[in-house]
Amino acid sequence: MVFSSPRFLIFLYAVLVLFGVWRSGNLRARKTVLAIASSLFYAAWDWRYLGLLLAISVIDQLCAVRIHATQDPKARKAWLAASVVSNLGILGYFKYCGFFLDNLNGLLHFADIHVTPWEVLLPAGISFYTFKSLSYTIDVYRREIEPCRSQIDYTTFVTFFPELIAGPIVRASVFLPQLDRPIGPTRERVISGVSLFLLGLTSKVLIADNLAPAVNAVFKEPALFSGAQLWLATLGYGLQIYGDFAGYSAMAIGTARMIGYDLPKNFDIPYAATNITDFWRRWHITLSTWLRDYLYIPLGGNRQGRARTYLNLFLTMLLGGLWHGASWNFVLWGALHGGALAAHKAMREVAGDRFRVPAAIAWPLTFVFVNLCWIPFRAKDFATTALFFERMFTLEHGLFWIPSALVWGGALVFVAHVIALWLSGRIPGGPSPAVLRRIGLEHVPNAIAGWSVKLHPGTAVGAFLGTLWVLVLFYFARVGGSPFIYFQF
Amino acid sequence: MGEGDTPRGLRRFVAPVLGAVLAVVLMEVVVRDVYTVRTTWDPEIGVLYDPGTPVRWRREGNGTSHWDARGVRANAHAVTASAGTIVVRGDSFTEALMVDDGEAFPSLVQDALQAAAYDVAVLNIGRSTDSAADHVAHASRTRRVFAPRWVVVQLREEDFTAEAWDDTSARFVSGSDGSLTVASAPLTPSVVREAFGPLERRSMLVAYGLLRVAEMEQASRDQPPLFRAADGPPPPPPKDERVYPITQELDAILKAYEGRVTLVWLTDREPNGAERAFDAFCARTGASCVSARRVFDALREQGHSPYGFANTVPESGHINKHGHRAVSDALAAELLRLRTNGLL
Repeated sequence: MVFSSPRFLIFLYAVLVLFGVWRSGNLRARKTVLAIASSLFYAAWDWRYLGLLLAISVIDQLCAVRIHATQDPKARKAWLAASVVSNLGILGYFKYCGFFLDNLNGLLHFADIHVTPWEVLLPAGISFYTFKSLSYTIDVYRREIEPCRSQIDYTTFVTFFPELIAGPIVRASVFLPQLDRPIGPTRERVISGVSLFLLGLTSKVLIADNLAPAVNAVFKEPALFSGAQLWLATLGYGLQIYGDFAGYSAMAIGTARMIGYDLPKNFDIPYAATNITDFWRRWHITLSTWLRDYLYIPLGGNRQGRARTYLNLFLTMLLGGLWHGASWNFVLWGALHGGALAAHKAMREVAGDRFRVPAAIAWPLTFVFVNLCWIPFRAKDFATTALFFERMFTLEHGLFWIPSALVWGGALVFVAHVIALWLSGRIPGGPSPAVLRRIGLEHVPNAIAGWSVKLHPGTAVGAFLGTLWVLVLFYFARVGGSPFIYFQF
Repeated sequence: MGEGDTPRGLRRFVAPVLGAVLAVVLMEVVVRDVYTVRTTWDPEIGVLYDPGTPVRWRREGNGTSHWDARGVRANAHAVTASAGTIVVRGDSFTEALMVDDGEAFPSLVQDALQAAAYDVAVLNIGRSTDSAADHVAHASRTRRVFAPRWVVVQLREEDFTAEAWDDTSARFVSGSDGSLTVASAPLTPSVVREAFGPLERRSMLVAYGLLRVAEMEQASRDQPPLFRAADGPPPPPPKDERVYPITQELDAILKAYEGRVTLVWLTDREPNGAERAFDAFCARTGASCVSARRVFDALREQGHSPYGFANTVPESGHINKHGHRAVSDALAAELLRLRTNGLL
């Protein structure tokens, strides 16, 4: 069930009606039903892997309880190791087995040895839910949180359907305390959640899905197209993946909000970043903070000298790249970002405040760099990546056309960035609540998800905007668009 | 509720309703710019575009077209046609809703013939979904209504395969002796057309909405029940394995128009079996044939794809204005050759 499909909307409606009607009574029973609904959602993809998901929740809850129960450092470490090995073992087997065997075969080729790879189907969302669950046992080990009181609570957390498949990667410390409050939609939460959901749906079906055919055509056969066309396709993919993933995240946060829970924000106007460090504070925030807290800092962070800090940054992004997919292209993508982060940190430390690049130069540099890095991320192999760069920088002749989806998508993303900067008050003279109300909107502050706005359907302007929004989606969304890009990770 | 509350309560209800209505009205205007298709029903050939209104089809390309009551598309220039008419039959590639009237290849061919001092009218009666069987089935009507000097039939591989053999419209039937005949299906308006016809003609929001619902229904049927992230997009449906008698179908078209016909083949990027059969047929029979292979490949060399638009993808969908220009150049050259040889 893809969030943008009618099937999901029916499922979500049923869940909302269920918890809207069933407001009182046993909280534990309602959490159980929510966990069952989430399991059904996952089973709609492939019921065979539901057991895997539930097994992870049982193993990690057991490990967390044991870690908490003992004061013996060795035993605590052993239980933590059990959790880490089981999560990374499952992730490694399902996601990296084929990649490992392919490379092993490449290495053993000269010795005429071949290991036949067996076909392993990648369970949807495995990278997300293993990281989410792993952070729980690590946090319990670090004594930052206490384990859940019941298996039901933990299973509800692990299986929670709005963010199960592609994040945001929510921490147990953020989610578990919310499990004690009543489940169920309220008018305020539904309006605010629907506003976010519509925003995400727009981003997905209007921008990303309309860009996808043009981008796919060029990435499929880049040799057909001119160098200029490849630049456009690269820019198009930068917009597509943003529309796709930020759209998914907004829909996930909106869905969770309708049901009664808050998820952390995952994007913060990323293409307004003026350097690569800034970009990673705005793009896939829950992954970058996860990598910082559970990889970069355990590697030593910035506590072991400059050279080691740069190496740690590089390694963190390298592994972050590999997290996205079992391919050398993702490793290259991670290496490019890791190298840029290390270089930016070194530049800041060496030059300090004496050398500041003006935003008018820094912004386009960052934007172009990030977009060029999307080429290995999107291309099917190294050869395609190399061909792209070669044709782009030699401006080879070939087919050329300007996809209107790119013009529209680019304009929409630009306008959305400007509006978001204005609404968030980062452009001086941000709107007062009275001004917002006059244009049919209302600010929704949220400690976990950050700020957002919701429509005010009770006003003429709010009803006008809301109706127009739904009609635009109905008439101009791409029908039968591709699944969310991050589902494959 | 106090007396003073009533107007406020009414305002609270009326204001959002007014806002919503205004949004619907605005959307009607926007949709009309993208999609304006009003049709009438002709008992002989089915759906025709309303002669009173321009047809806007900007889902693929950016075209506006105008049609008369006989189903003839307007050309860029009116002519006296002292030398008679040439009728161009074809499917949606000839109908060409994606480009403006003056950009479709029949109109360009007329311009080219006029420039060569040949005062002939070129009538575009292309109809979406027409197949090789329809071209044969409608031959007598074409002669009766238009009395053409010559007929041009635009063809692609799909015109000879499933579309020419399914029983929803005119179709080929193979006899026991291997001969080919054409059977016509009775024409009846669709249920949706019957139910929504008047509303569909008034509101493009309704007309386009019905089309979108049908597309969404199809898309949800295409979505596999157990989508798996690792599998990528679902595989395309298996290609029709049936072997179609393309040579016989071509021969049927030739006979239907008593040989006074030019066959125009729109080639795919890579040559396929149907194209080779067409080339072999033309070489064997000496029929008047135009293949777009050479002109389309030359276009690609110049950096233009003959297929695709800014709002679609190159090398897919229908031919664009570059493709129409290329087809027109090749077809006009063939028609002038026929004229020089005294055949036309």
